[in-house]
Amino acid sequence: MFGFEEVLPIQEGKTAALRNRPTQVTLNSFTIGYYNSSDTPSRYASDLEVMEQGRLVGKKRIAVNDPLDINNMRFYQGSWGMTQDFRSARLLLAGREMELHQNEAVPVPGTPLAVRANRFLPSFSVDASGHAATTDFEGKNPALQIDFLENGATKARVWLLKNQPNAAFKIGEDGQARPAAPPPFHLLDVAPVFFSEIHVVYDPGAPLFWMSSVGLLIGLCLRFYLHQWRD
Amino acid sequence: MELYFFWGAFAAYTVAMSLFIGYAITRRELLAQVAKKGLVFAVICHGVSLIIRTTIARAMPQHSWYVPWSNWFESFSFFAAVIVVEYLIIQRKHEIPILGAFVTPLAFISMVVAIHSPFGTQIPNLPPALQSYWMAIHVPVMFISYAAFANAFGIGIAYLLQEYQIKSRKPSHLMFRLPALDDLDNMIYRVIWTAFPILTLGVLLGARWAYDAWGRYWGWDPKETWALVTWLTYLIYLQMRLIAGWRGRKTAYLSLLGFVVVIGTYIGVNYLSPLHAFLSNGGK
Repeated sequence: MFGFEEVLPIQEGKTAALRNRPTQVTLNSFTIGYYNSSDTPSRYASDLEVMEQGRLVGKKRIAVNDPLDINNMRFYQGSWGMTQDFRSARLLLAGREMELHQNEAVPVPGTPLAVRANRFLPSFSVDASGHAATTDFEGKNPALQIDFLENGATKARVWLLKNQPNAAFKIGEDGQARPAAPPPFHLLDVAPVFFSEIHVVYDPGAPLFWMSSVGLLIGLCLRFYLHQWRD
Repeated sequence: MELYFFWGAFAAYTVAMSLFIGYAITRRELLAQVAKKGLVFAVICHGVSLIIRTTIARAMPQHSWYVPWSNWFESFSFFAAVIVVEYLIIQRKHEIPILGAFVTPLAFISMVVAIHSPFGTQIPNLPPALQSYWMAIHVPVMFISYAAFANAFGIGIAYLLQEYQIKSRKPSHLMFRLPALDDLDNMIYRVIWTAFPILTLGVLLGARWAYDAWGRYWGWDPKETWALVTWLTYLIYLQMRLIAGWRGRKTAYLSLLGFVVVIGTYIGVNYLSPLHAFLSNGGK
């Protein structure tokens, strides 16, 4: 009662506003670590800035079990995911490592070709209609869509899978992704742009709840133990 | 290394349980004396194994809050230890060794379940939600209450067996080993009477942890709901015994039902609860 709860999915570098208060939340960065040789996250955290009326009122790197407290509001780390954007990717092409940025054409040395990475999918799959899609946002099967350009015109468009270097999917004119021959180039790494779900809770009744809980405990003890004592 | 101590503890639990059962059958006091000493030895071995495991795990990255009850294997292993420690406390107060024949099998079963963990005995990867000091507070408090209810269950079985013996035309010598029905009934009551506020405290501490982790006290997650059902079951037990004056068989059955609910809450619901799935997914 008299409180509110909001969930703000925020992309790295973006700001979101609360509906119930004149408060803006900026996600400066999101970091995630994994246990060795597994896809189990060991820890994830969001670097937050909270502004009210143009004034910075709080800043903290929050994690699960470690929220940010500001003016009776608590900012919790919720779930997270990868967007379909990426910061950079490394490609092994003709024995050379190339660094790509989203929608930026990079010439392939010694050839009239250029490559351009357009889109990232965290967990690549081909849906029922034959189009590339993602099954979740956790990065279990990261894939990058690459255009091969000649004189600025797209000659071929393929999906490269980071975890399966010998697999590729070529995109036809109908937009469908079909398995292609093992490519002579590999996706080495990709740095996705994350989003983080921030749970914001304003709960002015929390002290009352905890006092009631302690009261319940004391009441139960009195009810049962005093009875016993009188016996 | 710690597994050697674990297996030592398991062997000692097994021997102690066998000796207690032997004592119930043969009435030889020596067996009970050795069984009690065996249990103390088992608990010491078990404690050492838990300390070593904790020391090893805390040296690993992201395990600074590690406690040795974080997955299936550890949880059941720890549960067995707490059941036995609480039995030894009860035993110290009441000196009725035959109850060991009813309680130690529960600890033995818990150890067997731990050993047959579908996720192995390795130190688990702790998910971020479990990397909290609350893990060292909320969970042991719950275990203390659950283990007390396990003891009440064992004594409840003894009660029903004694009642059957008394009504039987040909009672076995077990009848003369077991305490009087009133004593058993009082013992069940005192154990539940002590454990109930601990269970209440454990549930409230869990709510506090949930508030720190997710911003809510109660989410009607299956585990939380069944913890409430457990709490209500024992509340009914206490209420019926103290206010409605229930005694004997009815309250013994209620104590058995309570422990069945505890087991459902502890094991079964993990498969339904995404927030408390650390038992069913091995902490992966």
